[in-house]
Amino acid sequence: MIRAVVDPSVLVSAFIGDPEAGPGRLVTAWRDRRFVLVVSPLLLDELADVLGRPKFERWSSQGRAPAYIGALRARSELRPDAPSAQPIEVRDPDDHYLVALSRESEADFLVSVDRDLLDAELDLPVVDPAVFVAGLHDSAEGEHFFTGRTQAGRELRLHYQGSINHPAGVTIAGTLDGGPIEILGVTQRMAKGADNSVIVRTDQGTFTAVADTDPPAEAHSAALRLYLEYRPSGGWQTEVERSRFEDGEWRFDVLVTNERVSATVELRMSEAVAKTWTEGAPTPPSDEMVAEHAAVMLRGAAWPAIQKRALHPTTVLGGRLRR
Amino acid sequence: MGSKWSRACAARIGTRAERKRRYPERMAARKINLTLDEGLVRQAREQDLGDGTKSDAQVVEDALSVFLGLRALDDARAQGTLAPEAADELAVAEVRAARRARSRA
Repeated sequence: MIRAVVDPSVLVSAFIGDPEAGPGRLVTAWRDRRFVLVVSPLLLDELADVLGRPKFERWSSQGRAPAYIGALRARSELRPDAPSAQPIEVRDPDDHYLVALSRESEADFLVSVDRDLLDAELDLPVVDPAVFVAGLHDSAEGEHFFTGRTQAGRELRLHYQGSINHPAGVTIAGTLDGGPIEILGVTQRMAKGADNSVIVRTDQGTFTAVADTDPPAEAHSAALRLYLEYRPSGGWQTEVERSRFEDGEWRFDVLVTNERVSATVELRMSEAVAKTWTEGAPTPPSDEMVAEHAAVMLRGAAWPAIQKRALHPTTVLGGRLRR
Repeated sequence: MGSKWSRACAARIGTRAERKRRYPERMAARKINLTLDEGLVRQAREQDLGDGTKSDAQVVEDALSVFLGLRALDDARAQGTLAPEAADELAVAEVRAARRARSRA
């Protein structure tokens, strides 16, 4: 069964928020024993501390908060607090204990609603509650996760087959206007405002489809996001698309992809740095060298972090990174 | 190893170490004697998430905790719920404040 460390902010949000929102559905999934909640004394103390604050009096009074926390403790895997001696990899060092707990307990997911954790470049999956709950679906027959319209107005439906909890092994099947089509690839090209559109390569051609906005789309797009943003264990694939010399420096457009999503990241390199790479020769480093450098630099990066880099050029300050 | 009696007690109410772990100093534990339907205890054990090593007392107490906790959650929500974004925002802000306070202490 899936095991997850859940940030107390999710458990607080579930206590005070709409039961149909992501945190509420996560607690329902915990109630239904669809995953194992991993907790530690510090995590439970923090939850008690927060729910004991005056702002939560309306919900917590009459012993409701201790009872809620007691239930979570009673049906969870209680682990000792993990030592936090490792290097801090999150923006707020106070969040680090959750990362340490996730690693020590070998949890499958860390679930949070805090952007600091969701955007951190970690080697463990950090997901929001809606994505997590959507990922708990595990259908051998295939779960419908996307309905959209192509530019020609045709209805495209996509299903995943296999377990979305293990996105590396997932395959995609689909229909176009109700007829089965063979899906050769689904990618989402990074572009502003294009979050709900996908590019689908099929045996009948390539289509760009925009997701329907019916209510189920939230859960479907959550599953789609989990699939698309899969972080390959071997790192992202990189390829130099274009290189040029501008304003006294070398600029390389590097395509970064997991074969599901792709983004173009611009690396800039001063002539001096370029010469250290080419051992003094007045030529740009080879595309292979630059692509390898980008692969090492982005190896553990989550997709949102790569999207951010795609919006801001990265300057290579030092020598070449080594694998 | 304790006596046959103490081992029997440990099976029912958990060992001293278990009790100490489950009831931190600030939490009062009250010893009570109960007679429960055997089928009920078996059902509680089947529903339990544990690895089967819990004492009967622990299994029953955990089942009661879950029952009361879920009731408390329903009661809390009956006081009125916040919109998803507002609930997340308030939760994150207060958790961060609690972490900062702990870090300063």
